[in-house]
Amino acid sequence: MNRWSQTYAYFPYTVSRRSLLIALWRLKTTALAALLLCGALRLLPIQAAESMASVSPTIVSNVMDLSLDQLLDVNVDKVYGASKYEQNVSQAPSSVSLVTRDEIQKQGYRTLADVLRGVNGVYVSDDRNYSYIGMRGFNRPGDYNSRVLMVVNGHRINDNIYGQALVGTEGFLDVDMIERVEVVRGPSSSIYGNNAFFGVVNVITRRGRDLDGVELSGAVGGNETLKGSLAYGKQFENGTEVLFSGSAYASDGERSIFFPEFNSPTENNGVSEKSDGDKAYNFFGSVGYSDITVSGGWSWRDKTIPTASFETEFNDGGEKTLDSRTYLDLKYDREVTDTVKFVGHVAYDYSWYEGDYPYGVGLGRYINKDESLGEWASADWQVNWRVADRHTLIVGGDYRENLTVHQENFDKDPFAEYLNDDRHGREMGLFAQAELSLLTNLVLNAGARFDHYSTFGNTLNPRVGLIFTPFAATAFKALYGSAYRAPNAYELYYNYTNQSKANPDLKPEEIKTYELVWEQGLPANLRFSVAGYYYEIENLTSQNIDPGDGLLVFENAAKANARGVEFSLEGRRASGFVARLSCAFQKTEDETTQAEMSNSPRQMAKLNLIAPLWEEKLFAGFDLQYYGAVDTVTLNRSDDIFNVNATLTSRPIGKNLEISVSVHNLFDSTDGFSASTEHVNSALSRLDTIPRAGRSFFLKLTYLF
Amino acid sequence: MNKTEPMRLRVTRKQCVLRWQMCLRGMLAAVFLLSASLLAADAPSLEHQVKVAFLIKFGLFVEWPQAKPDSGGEDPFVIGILGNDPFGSSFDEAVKKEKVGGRSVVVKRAATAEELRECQIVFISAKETEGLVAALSQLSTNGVLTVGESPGFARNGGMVGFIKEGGKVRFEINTAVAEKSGLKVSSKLLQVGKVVTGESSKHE
Repeated sequence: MNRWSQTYAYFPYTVSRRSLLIALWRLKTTALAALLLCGALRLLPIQAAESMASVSPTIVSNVMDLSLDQLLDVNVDKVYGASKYEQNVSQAPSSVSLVTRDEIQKQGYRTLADVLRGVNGVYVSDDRNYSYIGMRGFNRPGDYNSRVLMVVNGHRINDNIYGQALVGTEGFLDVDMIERVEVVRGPSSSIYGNNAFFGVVNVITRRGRDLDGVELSGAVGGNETLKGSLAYGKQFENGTEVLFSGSAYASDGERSIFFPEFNSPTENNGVSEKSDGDKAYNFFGSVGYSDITVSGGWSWRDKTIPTASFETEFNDGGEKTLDSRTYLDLKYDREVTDTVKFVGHVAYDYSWYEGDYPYGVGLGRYINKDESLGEWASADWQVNWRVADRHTLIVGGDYRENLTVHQENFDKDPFAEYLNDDRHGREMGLFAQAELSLLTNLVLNAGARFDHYSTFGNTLNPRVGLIFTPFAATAFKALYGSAYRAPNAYELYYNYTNQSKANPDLKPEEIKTYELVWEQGLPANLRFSVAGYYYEIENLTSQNIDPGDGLLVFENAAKANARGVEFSLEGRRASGFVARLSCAFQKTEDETTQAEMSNSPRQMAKLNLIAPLWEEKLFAGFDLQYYGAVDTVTLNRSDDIFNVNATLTSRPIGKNLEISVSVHNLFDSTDGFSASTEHVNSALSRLDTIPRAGRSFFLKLTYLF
Repeated sequence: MNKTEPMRLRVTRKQCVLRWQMCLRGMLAAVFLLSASLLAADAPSLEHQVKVAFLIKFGLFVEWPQAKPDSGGEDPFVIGILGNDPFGSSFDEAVKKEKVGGRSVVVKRAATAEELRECQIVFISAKETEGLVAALSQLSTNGVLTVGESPGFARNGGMVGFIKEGGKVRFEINTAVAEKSGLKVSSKLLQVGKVVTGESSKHE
């Protein structure tokens, strides 16, 4: 019996008594608090007596009591990603933001990263290779989005080596295929398990019936950018629904980029030339009949890197990364009875990464190759049970077999191998969540998930939310949750001769969060929300130098906390005018050094505007973002970042042609995002910030058949 | 002595776990009992609750030609549901206490438009697509306010069509179709709704 099957054999009986005790204590105290609050509420005069006497649900009588104008303010938006079933945003146990296809089009968003940049409290940085999602004050340099879970139509995208979620041009999906993006803030490990640490980005694609025909789209942009896409979708009379979409993108990138840190005659005076190219392709398809849907996708991107990261040669033009991601997913979705629903998936996933890192010049030049291959098979199931049309219970579980976890590093010519590591492992989880209507205006949402990993063992994560809706347009949420992020294969096993070493004993990072949310519908079709939170993180994984041997190693060293407030005000007019103003204030602290965490802006402000210019045919979109200065990895203070995008979109001209013109970074600002450790780890690589891409135009024509 | 102490500790721990478990079970039972005591009639989605409230409001902001002002509470105000019913019994509960112009409100469900000719308002859910055009023209000739939720309802022969805008329920009003049937839509309703045009059985 090998090591892995042994680990499996004693699952799940290895929960230590201590962890069980702690878990029970957590559950009990929260249940007690809920009960007390519930009792207190029942003593209040608010509808309580009435709801006891009459069987009619208070929400209904509440709604019935509203005036015509108040009715117009009730938020009936639904979210899937917060609880793995559709619920009203006001009832979700999280603070939630939604971005619809309509907004994506009218704001001229080109990637999922652009979409997320427009969302309240989300800080997306970019190092001209990947885009990095920050939430609630955290955007750890060197983290490939492993602390945010990304899900596409119920399928987990984060890979099994870096835990990476792809959102930029490396993104898994063509942004024009997205129907809706749900950003669920706060921990959701209690239903999703790993990676749902700071939040979940749930992407729902368009369906065959939404396309109902062919969409052909072509675009040209600055820096020799070209994009083409073709999509077909249809729902047939017999119920079969199909969707196929493919897109190809190529850009030369900026012809020359100036990095002041490299400004010396030996380094081309700090100018990196022709080293920002980008090529990306993707395919997505889905076929559904009756209860079964088979879907799958493939993405491939090749990006040249201008930043001379990892001490590579500046202005060489040969540094690049290649990322590819594939999956095939079979979903079975059945309404067993009127109140019971079953959803199950089986899937196969594949991810491939290859990096070319040039060192030396002239005859001494050689390429170092860094590669990884991940392959995994997974199965999951979930049962939703609606009890007495008021309560919802869900139970589910999943299992993942990591078939291939391969990491390799070698010099190409002359050949020299530094790393060739293969692993195999498995993980599984069980979860349950209940949404209980304690009173007609008070919902208790409680759940927990138990996970077992062949790498580190077990973890249990609860989440409890108490949601009070005294009036139809008002919701108060008190939320507590814990989450974890499992150490990934890169952190556990990556080692490089004389530079870094593996640490297979890494423990998962853990977070405990406390949050209060107030959502309020206001007259004149305005909506206001405010969320305040306090986060506590333990075992934060960071790369340190072992004083014993001077090697870089990942350690569960840091303890950190974050506190903050996020405000949002949104208004809409029947004419199609939309305005959303949001701002966030946040403060993070490394508890050991009592310093602010790096790459954590203290303030953020965003303004999204969509204005109809001519009837319902022509729209203008403005997307403004402000990020406060951050401490960089080298402990310098960066500049504030101010970005403006503007877009003009037409609805079909004639019947079939849609035109969109967008400008990103309208004022051509060169302020930059904080660099990461790979950019600053020696005298050779010493970038403090990485200048953002300059102003870029994009003209897109879409023809609908 | 060295041996007995850890033993005793172990026993107390075990008891402790049991006690916690008992407490937890008690709590869960209490929560369930509490919620069970409050079990209510089936509640439709919030979206449909809001639509129910709007349907009643429409009764207050629309004038019917055949309205008998002196009939007092004798003739109820009838809201019909054609075919598929997304509201369930909560609709009947919700309208119990409601009055439209002093008249009590009742709900009538039927499979054909013919049976709903006498209603003041008829609601047609998004799932009703077959024979919609014929049903709409029959109802309009009988002076019934037709309210629907399928896309483009008010542009294709219906009078009031619910739409969703930014997560909120809104409605489009086709004044031309309503006026043709002798219905008068108040300016208040026109102010908050969106006036659209479009004739029956014409498709865009």
